[in-house]
Amino acid sequence: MSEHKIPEYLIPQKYPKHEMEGRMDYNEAADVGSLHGAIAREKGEPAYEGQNKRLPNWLTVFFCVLLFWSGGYLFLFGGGFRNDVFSERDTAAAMYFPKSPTGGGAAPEVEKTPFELGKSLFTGTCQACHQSTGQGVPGQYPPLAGSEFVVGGERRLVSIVLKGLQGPLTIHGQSFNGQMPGWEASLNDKKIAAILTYVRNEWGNKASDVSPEGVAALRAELASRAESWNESEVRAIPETAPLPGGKESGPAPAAAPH
Amino acid sequence: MKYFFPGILAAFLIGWFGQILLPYRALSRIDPFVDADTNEIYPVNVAGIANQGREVYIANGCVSCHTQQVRADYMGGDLERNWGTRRTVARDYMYENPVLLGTLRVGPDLAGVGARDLAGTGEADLTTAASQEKLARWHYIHLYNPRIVSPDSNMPAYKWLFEEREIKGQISLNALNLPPAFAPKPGYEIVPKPEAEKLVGYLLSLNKNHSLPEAKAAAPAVSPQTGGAATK
Amino acid sequence: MSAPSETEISGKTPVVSSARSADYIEKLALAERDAAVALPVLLLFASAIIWLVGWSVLNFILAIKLVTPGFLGDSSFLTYGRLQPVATNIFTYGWASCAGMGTALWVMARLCRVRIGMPITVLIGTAFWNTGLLLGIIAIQAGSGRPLEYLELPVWSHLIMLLGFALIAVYVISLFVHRRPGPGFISQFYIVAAFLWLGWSLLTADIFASLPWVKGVITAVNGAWFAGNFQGLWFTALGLAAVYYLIPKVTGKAIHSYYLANLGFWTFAFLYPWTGLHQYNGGPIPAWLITLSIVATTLTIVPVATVAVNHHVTMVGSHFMMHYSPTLRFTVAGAMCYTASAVTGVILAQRSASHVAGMSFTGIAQDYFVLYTFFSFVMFGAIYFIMPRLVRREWVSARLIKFHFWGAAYGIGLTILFLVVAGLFQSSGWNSSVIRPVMVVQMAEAPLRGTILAGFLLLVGHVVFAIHFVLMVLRMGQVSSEPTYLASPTARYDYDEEEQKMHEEAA
Repeated sequence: MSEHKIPEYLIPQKYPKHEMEGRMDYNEAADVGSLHGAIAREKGEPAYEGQNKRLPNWLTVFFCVLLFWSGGYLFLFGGGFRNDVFSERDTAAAMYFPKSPTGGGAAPEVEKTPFELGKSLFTGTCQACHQSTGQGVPGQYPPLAGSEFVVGGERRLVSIVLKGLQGPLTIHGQSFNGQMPGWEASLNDKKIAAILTYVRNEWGNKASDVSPEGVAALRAELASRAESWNESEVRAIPETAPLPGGKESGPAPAAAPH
Repeated sequence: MKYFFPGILAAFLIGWFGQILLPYRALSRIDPFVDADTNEIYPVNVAGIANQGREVYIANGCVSCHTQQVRADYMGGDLERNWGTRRTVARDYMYENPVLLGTLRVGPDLAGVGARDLAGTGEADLTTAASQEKLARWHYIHLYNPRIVSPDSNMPAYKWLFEEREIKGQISLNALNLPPAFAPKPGYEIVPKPEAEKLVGYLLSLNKNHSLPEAKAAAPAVSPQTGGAATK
Repeated sequence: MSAPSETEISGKTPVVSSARSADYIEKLALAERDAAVALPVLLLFASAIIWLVGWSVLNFILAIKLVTPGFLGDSSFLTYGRLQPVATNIFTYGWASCAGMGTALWVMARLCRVRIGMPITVLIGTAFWNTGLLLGIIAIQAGSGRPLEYLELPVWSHLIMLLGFALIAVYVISLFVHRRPGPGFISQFYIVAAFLWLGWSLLTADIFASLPWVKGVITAVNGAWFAGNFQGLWFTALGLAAVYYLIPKVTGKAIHSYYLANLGFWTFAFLYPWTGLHQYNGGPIPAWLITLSIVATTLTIVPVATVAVNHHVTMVGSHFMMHYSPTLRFTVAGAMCYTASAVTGVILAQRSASHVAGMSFTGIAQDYFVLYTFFSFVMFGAIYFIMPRLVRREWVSARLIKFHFWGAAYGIGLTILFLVVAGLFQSSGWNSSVIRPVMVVQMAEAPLRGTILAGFLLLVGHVVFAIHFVLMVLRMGQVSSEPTYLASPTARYDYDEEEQKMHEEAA
């Protein structure tokens, strides 16, 4: 039995004694042992009791290995911290060693085939008149499907697209009277070649691809001409005439890629 | 002890800056991709019925079972399954709020469901009016009761998106063409409500196949030593 | 909130002449602190358990619906896509958060050695929290839910809940601010930090998700960041706080190391906010963000191992107590599952694991592993410890506790097992393009049927627990000086001398 100093925090401070009478234990019997069994028997409140044991050595080593791994993983698969890199795998090494055979930086754009490019260009450029079916509009815009101007020699076709075609026209015995503008100002050689490659191989058409170089050559050859063609002028161009520098090709189908 | 409150604030803020603010600043500057050759713009901000269908998609919790993200070829069979022609990237979703990426695939991925020939039309071009009509009809029937087109499916039926009504005169143009086992009682027809039309409009608008410079099309995995390609 | 009053006890003389009396007075002070927060804690526990039973029913229904889509299938209110987020939200915001807040409040009231007036703010706060949740759930079922995990409740219902949460948080943090001077205990730090972190995260995530000009994948990043914080900075923090309090309390030992506890806390604080994003492995998120999240998740082994070592070394020599102490059995089982679930979490976060198990039920199983086997088990343990002190009765029946334990253990064990199997089937199915989609669904179906049985076990266990709780609240518990042990503490096998001594002291 020793004298115990009660911890400071346990000393009643606020309430005078008479207010506390009968309050303790909420009007139940004052026998903590039986009524507060749960509290009376419980161990003391947990507290820090000055134990400051360090990490076990093996754990410290393990954490260091983990940190090392993390740094390496972040370096190799962090995509160079670029916001346009989504596949960590094909960029990781390339990001830091651009000469590595996996290729550098972001992946190159997938090149469209001339046919695909032509298809999407056709939608924006030609479809309004010639229609997505290539059938044109009776009386106004001639069909492209099966048209002799389309699947014949390239020279005729490219000439028309470059300079345009005015006035009456007869295709498959049907007459049309529309105005086609020249496209040389708004479409470059690559686009014209792509559109015509598409047109020559869609809707049952089968003809050779049109090369951008040929279009460029014809563009240069016709540079001095300002006005559009009319039907007789176009028909004056031989039906199987190729583009400048090109091989003569007739209506006989070349190897159609599609 | 004096470091406690500043410490927990710092822990929170560093995480937020690093994961939300920094990427947000970068990702909010994404522009749509303009094809230099065709002047085509991708992605386009879908408006109208497709956008309203998004709300129906969200309201019915489709995202609980369907993702909308195509992973690279070395991460899974997404590309082999033709869920898309390439992996999806941030730019694909630049107009979506919130995005519906999803994290669980009870059913197939829907990132490119609009470009999939589910109806078996066999047509190369699904954008024609006729193909779209066929696809829409397939989706209506599938939503009305997935067991009609896919007997073992565990997808719930969404019958409240449809109306069963008495046929007055001619049968409606948009009435569902149901097999006898699932047909309504004689003299009645099942027609899609506006919600169903919106939802199907939305599903048919889903297509993330347009090529983008930051997303390569399917290609063999670059690092063979990791073996991802082999275990596909 | 009124100024804090000192802990008042009956007017004994300040100096007493026996150790027994000092202990006696300290215990009285504990009793008084318990009584001060008894009502709010009881209300929080009661709401938690009501939500838990509600969740069990929904979970059972959902398990059936997953294999029998026609079951309750004609109502838009009960469609799987809406019911599933409702169940998740009831479990997390309803059961887990309410139980966690109740435990936290009680632990704080004790550790801060102070009594603060107006616990009614907590009662009001709880009412707001529950009302907001209930209205939000109805809104989800009516089709107004949001599509991001843990943020499915509409913003307005989150705001109602946040208001209630703020009331509770202010009370808890006031306890801490006005605590008696002293070194403080690790549980206090976890709890205060958890309350601040959840408040900040919920507010930030909701505001960010509501800004109309924020578009694109960043909205998913925001959701994943919140989900990570919700599991890590909220549930894990509260769970660890309870474990840190209960293990020393029941075993009567001091925590093994002060230093390790601090190391664990601070590494936890700086790593867990980064762990959410790996669920989008392979997704359209910039690679560096996901890589960073994988690295952070992997590094959580540091706090996890530190905490595990600390808990384990504290427990060494006392594991026998799990045999008879309900509190310790639940709590230590939960603490072990914390370590285990963290390890599986690290494994599942890796990119190579995503290839095998990504976007499948395996992820759901992992969520259960963290939120149920770790967090909920610890909460069960805490409730078994706290309730007798609040109602001053002992638990009615050891048999009911055992029933609850084994129902929960087998129920969740089978749920996780079946979900992992279903998830692996599902993932490998989707990965091999020769398998038709409907076949993938069928492959996962057999194990999913198993989850119906598991869901039934969980339901039974929880109903038993709820009945037991109601009996306690009605003060129909035993009046006894002995706690309701699961077995006789003396009838055990591996006695050593030290334990024997300890036990005699305790008796």
